[in-house]
Amino acid sequence: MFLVKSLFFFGPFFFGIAFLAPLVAQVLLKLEWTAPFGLSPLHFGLIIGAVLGLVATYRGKWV
Amino acid sequence: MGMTSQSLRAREKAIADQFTGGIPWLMVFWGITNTAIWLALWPLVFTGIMPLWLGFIIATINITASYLPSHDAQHYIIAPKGSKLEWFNELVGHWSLIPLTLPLRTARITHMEHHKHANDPLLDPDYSTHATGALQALWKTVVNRQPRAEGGFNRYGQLLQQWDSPAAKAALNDAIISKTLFFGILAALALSGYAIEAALLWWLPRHVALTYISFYLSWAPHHPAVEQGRYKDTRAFKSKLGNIWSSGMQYHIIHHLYPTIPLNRTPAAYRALRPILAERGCNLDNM
Repeated sequence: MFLVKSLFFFGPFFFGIAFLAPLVAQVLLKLEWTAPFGLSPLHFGLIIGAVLGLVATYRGKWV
Repeated sequence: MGMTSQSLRAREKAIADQFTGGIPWLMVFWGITNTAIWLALWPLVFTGIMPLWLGFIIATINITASYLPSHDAQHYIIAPKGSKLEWFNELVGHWSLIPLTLPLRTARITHMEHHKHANDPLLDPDYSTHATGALQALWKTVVNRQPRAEGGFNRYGQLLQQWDSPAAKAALNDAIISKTLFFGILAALALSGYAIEAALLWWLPRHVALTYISFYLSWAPHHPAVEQGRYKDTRAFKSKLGNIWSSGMQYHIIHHLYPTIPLNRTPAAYRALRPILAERGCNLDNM
């Protein structure tokens, strides 16, 4: 149970990098938008997903 | 001269018994086809036969409608526990909940406690939907879904750990597996290039569905959720969306009094029982 609780504690971070990151990248590609600072869509998605996921993990809430 | 409480109860039960029994085929058909349609959306959208925007709308309806057939199964209305067709009851219950990723055993054990302790701040698993008004109720559905929220499914998890019975452990295991599978499948789809499809056929529709379910199936029929007891913990109410679009919840009071009456028979049962419920002092909201 400790392992499960630990994994779920970091769930928002995992969700950020494994779901939000590719989602952001694929939305950029779909809309034919360019990521800022010369980043690739996936790198941009990873930054957004990781930051949002880390903040949600720290705060315990997305909103 | 009013009837005694005992004779009133006997009359009440005699009327309610007219609406129980038999297989509620509408609920069976609803549960089986609803999940089948949702599953069919994936190949239809992936192959381009169906546009994603249409898939999103249908998926949202499917996932929103996925709870109620299982709710009848949770109460063994489709087939009684111990009967030859109990497997069929369980099949419909498990199958209908797939889009919502809420395991049947988890839903059942927490729902039975809700029936026992409706509106009890400490013992009712659904008490976290309690709110002073509609807007606050909608906001609470969002709050209850946050990673470390005290309400919603997190409250189910906490209570299942507290109960510490074999059934509670099994329900908790089911919930852990279900949650892991849900996010694992979402991640696998996203990393395979189908993130937008996963978001619009499952992730976002599920959030819309959980908002609706929490609002109409939990908050609205128990509002203001300050009284407890057989005739006080649930109300009849006039929904702005009408009875069908509020999932039959206008007559949820009937379900709490007689949980084995199938959902689609609660309006007729309400009309038959209304004089007795009025005499009992139930909150009927002029229905």
